[in-house]
Amino acid sequence: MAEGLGSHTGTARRVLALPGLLVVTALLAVALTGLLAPARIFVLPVPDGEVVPSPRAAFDSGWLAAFSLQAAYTLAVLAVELPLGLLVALSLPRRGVWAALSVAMVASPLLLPEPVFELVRTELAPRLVDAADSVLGGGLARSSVHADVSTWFGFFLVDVWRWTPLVILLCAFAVRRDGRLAHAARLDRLPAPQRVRYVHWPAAAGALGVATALRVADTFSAWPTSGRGVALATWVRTRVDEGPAASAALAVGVTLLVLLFVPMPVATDRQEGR
Amino acid sequence: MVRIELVGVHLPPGPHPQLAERLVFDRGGINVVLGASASDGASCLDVIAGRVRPSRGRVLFDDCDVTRDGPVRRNVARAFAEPVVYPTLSVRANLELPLRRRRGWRQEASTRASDLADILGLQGALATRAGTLPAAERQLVALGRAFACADAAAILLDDPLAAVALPERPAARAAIVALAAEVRASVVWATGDVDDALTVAERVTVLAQGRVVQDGPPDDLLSAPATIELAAGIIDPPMNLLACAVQADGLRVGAARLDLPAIVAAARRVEGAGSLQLGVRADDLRIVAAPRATTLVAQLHAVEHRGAFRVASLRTDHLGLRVVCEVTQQLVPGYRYHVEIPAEAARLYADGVLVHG
Repeated sequence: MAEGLGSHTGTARRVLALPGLLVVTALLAVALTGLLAPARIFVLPVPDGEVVPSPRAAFDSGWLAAFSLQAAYTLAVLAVELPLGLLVALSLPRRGVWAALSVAMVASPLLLPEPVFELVRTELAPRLVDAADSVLGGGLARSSVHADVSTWFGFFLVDVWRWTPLVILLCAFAVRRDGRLAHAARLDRLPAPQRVRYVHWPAAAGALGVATALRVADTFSAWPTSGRGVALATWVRTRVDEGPAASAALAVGVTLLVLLFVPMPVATDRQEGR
Repeated sequence: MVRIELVGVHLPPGPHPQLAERLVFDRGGINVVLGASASDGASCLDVIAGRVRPSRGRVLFDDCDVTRDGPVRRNVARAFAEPVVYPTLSVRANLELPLRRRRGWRQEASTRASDLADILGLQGALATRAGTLPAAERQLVALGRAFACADAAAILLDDPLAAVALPERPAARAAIVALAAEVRASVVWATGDVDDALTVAERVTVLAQGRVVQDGPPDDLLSAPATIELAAGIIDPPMNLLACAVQADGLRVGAARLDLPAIVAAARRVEGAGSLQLGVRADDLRIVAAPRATTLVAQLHAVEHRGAFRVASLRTDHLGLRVVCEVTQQLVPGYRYHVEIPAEAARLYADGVLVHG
């Protein structure tokens, strides 16, 4: 019965998934950052609050430690921002005035001025860490400036607060496109975790890939300016002339964008089966 | 299977707030909702599936009010105009999932998936990831998912052949009819395609701007379209619609007088109507050798070849006529022919609405 329907299936090719392409792109960007960074690396000692940049040799013993620290920080940020962004995106209202209002509310941190984040980073975060420190009985290690728990926590808090909305917005628009599949999944009686796994995750995978690439680029873009980790790098940004290092960061960003725009249409076309 | 009834359903704010005063879909069989626009039928299915909650009115399944019930409690399955599949799962998993979630029997689901794949011609693709298939095959998978649960209360098909290429549609239609025959569910098929409605439906409901224009078997739709829009739009070649008037000596079409007493009686019942039109299908008209009481004289001016038959275009008193003729019939452009209107095939439309026939 119905012979001839679905006859070509043997020729259907498995294609490289969009998320895979984006992860490769992100890794390329990181690698590129690592290559560009040694071009002009500054050691940024902070003896008494003054920042004195000075040239140093590339790939010294501190370089790998700083890179590892940076990568760990980036992973920590992604581990919080991506799931949080997807879950908030799925719980946003989809119809009526509340849909528009919720998008506006979610997007608002993206529009806040820098001093607000500076205030959180320098005032709120240390107090939170101090409070936690007192609860834990002084158990938090506080050593050098760039490893200082409150500094890292401040950057982490601000990064998550400021950029999770971007992930939410990307995911929200991605998952809204597939309302019919979500409806079909409900009719199929899929429980919520399976709906996330089979419906929302594939729908948001592209958006999450883009978010991953952008966030990795953002956190790593600070890194070439110091070679000593995101906290110190970002902290000194406003205090020193970043010069060639900033150019390197810009080059990374531009390269990343080009890489993003090339694979995305290709992957999308293949996924559409065109 | 259930009998589905929508009573006085109003949709949330939109172009056509009222769906229809009353819509009924019979138990079992294929009920086709033929909409003037894609949104007519889709809105209807959204309400039945519980995807859209009506602002007013009731949705009844076997006289049981399910208006406030969610999609799961209604036990319906659905396929959309666009292929909706779980892209990361294999075709087999897509076909098994609805049954496994409802019943939890892995073996039954596996057997059912194989059966569905046989009917839909997807045997070779069972292990393929559904997201990598072309659109037409993904749509077949989506249809298989919709029909996976044989005991669903209703299966809703939202223009399911929109993604299927024209040459493959007859086979896809046949597959859907075969699937519908083996399930115990009521099937509601929303479409804007007349061919779908006329070839698969056991009952057709024509919706236009939230109003039921016609409701009945497809034969009724073909032989007696309820409005002149339907008469001109759903039949190929279109029904002949001839402006007419009732005078003391009978029915006049142009200068000709026709002896159609039933039409005259019907026209007198709607006296005062703005316009009267005599409707006759092109394949009911006959070219005859001699004048009779129900013939018009018309000049042939073109002949269109349609394979097994021909369509002759004639003109009489500025009125156009199309007549279906056999390929063996001698037709000479420019000649005048006698065209007979059989009394039993004549329909009368007053102000665009069928009043007799």
